[in-house]
Amino acid sequence: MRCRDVWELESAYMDGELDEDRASAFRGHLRVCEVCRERVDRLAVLVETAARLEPVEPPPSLWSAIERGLAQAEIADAQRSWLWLRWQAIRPRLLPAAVACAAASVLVLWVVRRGQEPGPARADGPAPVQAGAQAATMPEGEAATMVPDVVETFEDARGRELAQAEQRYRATIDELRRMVEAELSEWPDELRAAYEARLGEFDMAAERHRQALAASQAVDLRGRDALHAVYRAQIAFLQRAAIDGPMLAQLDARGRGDVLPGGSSGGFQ
Amino acid sequence: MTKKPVNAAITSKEGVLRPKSRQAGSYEGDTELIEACRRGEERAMEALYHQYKRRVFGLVTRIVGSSDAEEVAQEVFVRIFRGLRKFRGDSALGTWIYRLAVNASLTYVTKRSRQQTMNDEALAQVPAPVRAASDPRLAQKLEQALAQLPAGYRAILVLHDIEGLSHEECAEIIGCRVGTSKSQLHKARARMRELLGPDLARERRN
Repeated sequence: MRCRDVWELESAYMDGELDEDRASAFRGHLRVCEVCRERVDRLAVLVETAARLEPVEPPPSLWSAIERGLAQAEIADAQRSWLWLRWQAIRPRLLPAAVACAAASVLVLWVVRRGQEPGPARADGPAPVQAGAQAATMPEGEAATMVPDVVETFEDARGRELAQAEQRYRATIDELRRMVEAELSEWPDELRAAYEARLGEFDMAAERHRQALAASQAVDLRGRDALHAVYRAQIAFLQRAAIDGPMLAQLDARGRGDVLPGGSSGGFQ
Repeated sequence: MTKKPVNAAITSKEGVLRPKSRQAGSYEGDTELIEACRRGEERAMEALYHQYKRRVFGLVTRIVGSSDAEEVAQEVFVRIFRGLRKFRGDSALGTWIYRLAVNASLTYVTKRSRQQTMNDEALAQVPAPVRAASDPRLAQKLEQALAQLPAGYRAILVLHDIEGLSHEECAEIIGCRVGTSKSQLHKARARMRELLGPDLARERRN
């Protein structure tokens, strides 16, 4: 070991991070090199002295200062709108729902893409179609023989994910609606009517998708995705209504709103 | 601390009402303490303050200097109490508090240096003023030399060598890799050794 190696390793040696072989070589070098020994000794004195430094006692006035700081912050909170505070309270609960929805969306996308890939050719069957849809339209016994076990398990998981996503989307929408409706009486009549009309459009769009899904014989993943897109747009609209309140109309007038699906302007007019 | 009425739903201090403590004894573990602080219980907030005041104040003093330490420590504790509601427990409470203290201190030093365009000479005056020539104690010299380090070096040296944290904890607090923490400490110690050269040699001989 050379002096330069000792200079590089001295800090790690002090912290006991060198393995046994290197630590032994390190000590061996110190035994024969006065310069390095003195250098490392000074470092040891530094580290020991630092470790023995007395704790710094805060002044007694610090707690009072903290209470004053908290009081000022609470006064600032009191000047915030009720909706902002409510939004802060429910925001943490929205995160798990958003994660579940994102997971469900990825799952749906993966399934759709997987369905578009050419499957194994059947000797007597038609061209390959989406596995899930095919299995659903075939007699039970045939579907069971065609779809491997692993796919069935996966589809069970997909069903659960989709059901959870549906439930969480609707819970989020209900929560946001309650928030907005608590303040709705203070809105101008015209704006309130416009809000309710737009919300009605969302409800109708979602209902149409739900009916189409219920009537569908096959597993309609694209239809499900479209329904979720309506939910997401509705959540975005309600979030803005909750936060901006009656200011929403002015914001839209400046072209900041685009919440309706299907190419609508999304303005809250 | 004033004794609270047992059956009161809320307690009053200086005209401000706070929720009464749900727990009679001491708090078992950080989870109970955090929950009580989130509810705004005064006793829990004071308990947390007393648990961490020396560590926070010591860290802040050594990074920003004694003249501004109280102001920064106040800000750190306000951030702690206000931020507890968002504390998810991804790291230990102590680590999280250290992180807030280091961030607030480094931010303060950066702002101050921008405002004052401090040079090295001015920076040396920031920490606890010690009369170097007339004070032979090595610990005081060390505090003084610490003030001459760049703020980043100061932070790692205080966390590791004074507060006794591991490199893993330092890295988590500062937000860097463990290797970076080690190399920064190595440089900080080397710089301190330069600054304290004769004093360390004298102590070694003694």
